[in-house]
Amino acid sequence: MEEKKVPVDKQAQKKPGKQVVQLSEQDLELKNRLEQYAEEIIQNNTESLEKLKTEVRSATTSMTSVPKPFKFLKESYGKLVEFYNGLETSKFKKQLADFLSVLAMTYGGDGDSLLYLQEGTQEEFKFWGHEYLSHLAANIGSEFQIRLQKVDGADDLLYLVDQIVPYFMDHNSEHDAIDLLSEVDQLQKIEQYVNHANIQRILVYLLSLVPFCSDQDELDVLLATAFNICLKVNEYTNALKIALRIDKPGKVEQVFQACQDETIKKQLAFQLARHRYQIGEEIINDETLKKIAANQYLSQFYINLAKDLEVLEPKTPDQVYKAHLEEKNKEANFEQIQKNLAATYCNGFVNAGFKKDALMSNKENPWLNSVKNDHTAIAAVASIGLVNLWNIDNGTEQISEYFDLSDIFTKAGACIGFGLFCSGIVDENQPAQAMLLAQLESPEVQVKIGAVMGLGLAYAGSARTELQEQLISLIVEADSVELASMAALSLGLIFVGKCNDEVANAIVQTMMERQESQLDISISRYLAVGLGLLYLGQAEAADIVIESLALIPHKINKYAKVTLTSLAYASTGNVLKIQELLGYCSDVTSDDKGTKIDKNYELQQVAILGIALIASSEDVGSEMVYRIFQHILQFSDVEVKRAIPLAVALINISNPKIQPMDLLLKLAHDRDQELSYRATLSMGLLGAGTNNSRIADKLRGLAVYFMNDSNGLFLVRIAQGLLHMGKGLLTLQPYYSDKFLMNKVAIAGIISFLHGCLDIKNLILEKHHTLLYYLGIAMYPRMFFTLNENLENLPVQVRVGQAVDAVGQAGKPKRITGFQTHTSPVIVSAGERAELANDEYMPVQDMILENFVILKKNPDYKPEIEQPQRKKTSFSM
Amino acid sequence: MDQIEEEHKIIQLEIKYTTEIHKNVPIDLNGTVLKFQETLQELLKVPVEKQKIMIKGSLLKKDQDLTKLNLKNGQQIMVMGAREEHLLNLKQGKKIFEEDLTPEQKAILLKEKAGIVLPIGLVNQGNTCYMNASIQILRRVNELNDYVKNNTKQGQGPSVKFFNALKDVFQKLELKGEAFKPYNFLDVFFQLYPEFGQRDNQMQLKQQDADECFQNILQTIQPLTAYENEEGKQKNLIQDLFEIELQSTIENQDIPDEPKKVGIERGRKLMCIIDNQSRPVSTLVEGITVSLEEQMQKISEIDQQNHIYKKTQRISKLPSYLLCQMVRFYWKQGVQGKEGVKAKILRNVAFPKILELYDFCTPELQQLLQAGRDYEKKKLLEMAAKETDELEQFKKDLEASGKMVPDDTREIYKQFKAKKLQEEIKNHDDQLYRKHGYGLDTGNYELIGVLTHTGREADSGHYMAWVHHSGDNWIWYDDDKTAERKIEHILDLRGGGDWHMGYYLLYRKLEIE
Repeated sequence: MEEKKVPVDKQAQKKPGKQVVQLSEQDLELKNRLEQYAEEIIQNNTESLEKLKTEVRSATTSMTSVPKPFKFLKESYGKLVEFYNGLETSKFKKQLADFLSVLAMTYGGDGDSLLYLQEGTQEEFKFWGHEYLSHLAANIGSEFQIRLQKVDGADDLLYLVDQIVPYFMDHNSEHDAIDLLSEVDQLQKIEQYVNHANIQRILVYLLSLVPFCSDQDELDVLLATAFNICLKVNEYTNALKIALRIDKPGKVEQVFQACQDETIKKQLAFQLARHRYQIGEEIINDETLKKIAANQYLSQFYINLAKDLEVLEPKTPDQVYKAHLEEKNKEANFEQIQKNLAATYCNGFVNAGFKKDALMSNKENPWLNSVKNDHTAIAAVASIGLVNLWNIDNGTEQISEYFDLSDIFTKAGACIGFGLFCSGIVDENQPAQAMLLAQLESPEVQVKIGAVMGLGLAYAGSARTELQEQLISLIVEADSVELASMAALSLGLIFVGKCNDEVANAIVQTMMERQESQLDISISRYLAVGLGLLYLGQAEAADIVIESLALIPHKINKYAKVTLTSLAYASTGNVLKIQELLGYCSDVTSDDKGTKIDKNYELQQVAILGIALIASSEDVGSEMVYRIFQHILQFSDVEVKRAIPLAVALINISNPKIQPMDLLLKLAHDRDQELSYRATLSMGLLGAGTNNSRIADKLRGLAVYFMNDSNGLFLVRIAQGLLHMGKGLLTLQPYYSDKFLMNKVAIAGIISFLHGCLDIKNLILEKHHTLLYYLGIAMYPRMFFTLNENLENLPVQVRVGQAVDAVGQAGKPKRITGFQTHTSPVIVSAGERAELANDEYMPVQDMILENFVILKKNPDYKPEIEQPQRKKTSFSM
Repeated sequence: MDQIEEEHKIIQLEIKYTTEIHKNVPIDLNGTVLKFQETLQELLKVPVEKQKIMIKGSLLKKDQDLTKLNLKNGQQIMVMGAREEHLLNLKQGKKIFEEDLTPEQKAILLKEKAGIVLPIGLVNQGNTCYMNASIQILRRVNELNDYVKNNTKQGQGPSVKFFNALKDVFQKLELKGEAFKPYNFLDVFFQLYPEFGQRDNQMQLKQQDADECFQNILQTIQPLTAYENEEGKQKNLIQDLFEIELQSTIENQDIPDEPKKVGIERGRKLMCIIDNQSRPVSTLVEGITVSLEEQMQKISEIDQQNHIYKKTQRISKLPSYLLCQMVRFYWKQGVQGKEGVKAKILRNVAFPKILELYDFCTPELQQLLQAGRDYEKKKLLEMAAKETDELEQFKKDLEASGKMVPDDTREIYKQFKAKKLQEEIKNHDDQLYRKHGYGLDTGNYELIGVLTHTGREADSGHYMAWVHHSGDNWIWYDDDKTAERKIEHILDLRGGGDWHMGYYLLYRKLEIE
């Protein structure tokens, strides 16, 4: 609620006290006249009231001072009130009340304006202008809250609201109207005032309120209202955006059914594909639309982008490491397993999605010979999946023969790779399901694990029920706890945020029944992670499961509880939950009775990750938890501190800001090895896909620092691979559309990996490094493509610059600063925004310019004549 | 009826294989899966056993009934499988990984492939650091090292055993790959020199003097290193390498008429006297000077009286390897009935990287050396001229390559030197370890090994070896630990505090060619 202070006369402020203000003759006359009117009113003179009203109303003023009549009536106000209170009820009294209501804006106490207005005629209060109405709106808001507590009716207030809102709407003051309506819980009423002209301003303001909603109900109303107004004025792209955020069955379909324009439908299909929303065939039956929604264009355009930027050639790990720039490097004369493993991953990340890489594509001198016949071979074969990301045709061609090799490790790797390149792409023949379910029949546990991981990667977010039964049976029955945990994780990924009870029950059951020794194994944490992913972002829906966890005898129940809480409230910014999780981090060494209890550091670490996850969607929240983290760094045990680098990476993923970068660099040199390992890896996540030269430089420094520590060096190499992920064209950022939407699959992938990092020595540095591939499903090109209606690339001039918050500002404010002009397609970094440089083309519908946008010719476009030639294309404002 | 069914039996499918799409591929639903696969083999050139056919989320199995698949005309199915010509070439087999090798295998491979010998330490077996350090220094004497490694002595004597034990140690230091305990060597050494095997009350081995140990090793193997040179002369390697010939002159200071006594003395080391009351010694050269000019009392043959004699020694034959001992340990006489003790002088005595012995030589030898020295000067001038030419060329190349050319001449010189660094290191090493006897002597020696002692007393403390590796790089051997060091660190070992200080120095003769 906006409450504007009545401006106080500067003169009066400067000279307080008795000093007599020298008035000009005119003013003196005015003052005398006004005081005379007031005197006459007290003598019951009705006409004088009218005259006084006219005086006040006709007063003009600048922005910074009180209108003179108000100023001069200061002394009379008290008398008038006194007189008013003594009056019998009459028309005159009511009229006087109207006037007092206006004066009370300046001299009265809180709520006086409203009070007098309600006692008055309420006939002409709208004519007193914007300032008065804003003041009233504030009064109404606070009065409404009081009534709400007293459980009183508020019809009279709502009557006033209904009067005020149209005034605001007519006077370009939509945000005041929205504030007022939301204050009195009548937001849905905004719908009747919406039209094509004001929808943009209303929508922007409504959506910017989203992070400030205090509870789920309020959010639901807000989103539902926004959704309805978009549909009302046929803003389908925005409606779809909101529908995806609402995340309730039927909403997305509703938009599609409402939309009749084929081109807009294509645009909508692109939005669905970005969000990995799988829509029923009955809604979309057009082949092209299906293809778009199935994400089948992604690979093609990504490769186009790479061609456009001339980065299609495969890059070798050595080109990424730039080892020659490292200060000193002993010449290694041997093939080292760990070094080659790092090269495997680095190669996979750097060439992700480009179809051709530097190692695995070489058939004459196969990289397979450079890895051992063990888990490193799994990683090597699976990297084919990363290289062929989103491209089933190429992927199947490159990976098929690995299924024919007798070796179980290559087979397992092939399964994971298969899952990776099928991930997020819908193909009618469901190749991933066909291949990987068949591999589940294998007697080898290793192959089964590969197949289970592959299924999880391929069908993440698809809620594909065909897989449910088989995977559930693995959770409950598999002898290997690793297999069971991975099955749980895969189901968590497949049904991410879908609250699937059957899966949840199976996981809880297996946590109850399995032997303690099995649950002690580090990898068993993925039972908990899988469970948590089922409820990702679903808030209260997870409560019942959280309750049931208490029945589990093993201490994994606590791990599961914290994981579930943090995932259920992921990106909600829920302060209560952050406090609950902070409770775990506080330094409790004894319980209520004073007996010492073992610190469960792992729990504290999960809680810290959870805090980051809950706050990550929104900038202010991220800043605040960043501060909390610094407190923890200063005051907590080193075991707790170890979670901080990961949490910092999570809130700043693919967003290399200087502050967290310096913090991580410092931690990377920490004496605690585990902490320094995690910080090193986190540096990679922080800059993932940005090619940030500063981080690259620091990582080279770390490579020297870890010269004699092969594990540390391994992590540096992986971080370097992440930094140059997709040669700088990819991002791991799970939020998009100005952080309005969260890609659940991406979050799930990142979280799955980060939980692995909570035991970096036993998981990532041991044989479970394949957890790195879960980052594959979080990858997405950070590109902005402009297309014509036939889905062909349409190069236009685009400005890319630092985003500026312009919500609620008047007119057409600049939304970016320090921009550069390029020809599309372009890449957009975190915190940047794209704009079309001229009006020749416009998006088919108004939307945030990201990912794929279909453009149409602007019918009103008139090319500027003799446009001055600018040599420089970049300038800042 | 039959006809209608017949029509339905054969339908047309769309086959998707990688990026290829084949339309209208017939399939006989009444036929076997194998038959269909053969059709596909013909079409796609993918062998039947490698085909994987994916239909609506399941894999087609060998014995499946095609009629039950609900296939429709025009339906797309997906086929996967590798064609023969695209197969991986896995014949070469797996590579060898460092992690899989034992240290020994690794060392052997390293030596075979790259000619690199890893610096390997020796484990201390209870105050045996004097020996470990001595062995490491001795190993730097390439000629001896090669001889010992390549010869096995037959026989039963203790010195033969000792020789073979030393050979074993030298070989292991090259190929073992990790620090080890030279058990056998120690055993044989103690048999030969029981005083080194003494133990204290706690049965701990006692600390010993590294100089004694070093000289004992040389002494023991000397008889076994006799060989016949190309001219058929009987030679001895230890003599060739270490023997220094001194011409000593003794003159009577009181009676100048007494004829001078001139004799020849042979030894294996030069001493550097530090404990010199009259003239403080702070460099190696000063110390050697003191040791070569001695005053003594002697009964004269002329008047049978005690007179002061001056003994002056001059080098008449230079050794290949010069050993210098800093005389830091001495017997401190007991005062007022107290027992004397072994003491150590911590004094700071600097030693140079290049040691010039010219001034200590006999005039005859100096004449010979002068030729070498003149030649060296000439050569240095030539080198300088050559370098100037090369620098000019380098400048031109730099300009031609279009790169940024620094304004500062010093900067260019720096880049030029950096480029030539590898070459210069190689040149330096070649020159330093060139086989002796083919060039001219100049009387100059270069430092290649330092044996240090730390601690305030002779009977305790710790010995270490610092051995030249290549260029400016040295290796520091602290028993089983090894590390790289630079020449600056080595020249800092001059003593004067509680840091390690040079006790035994090994110089190699420089010849000019």
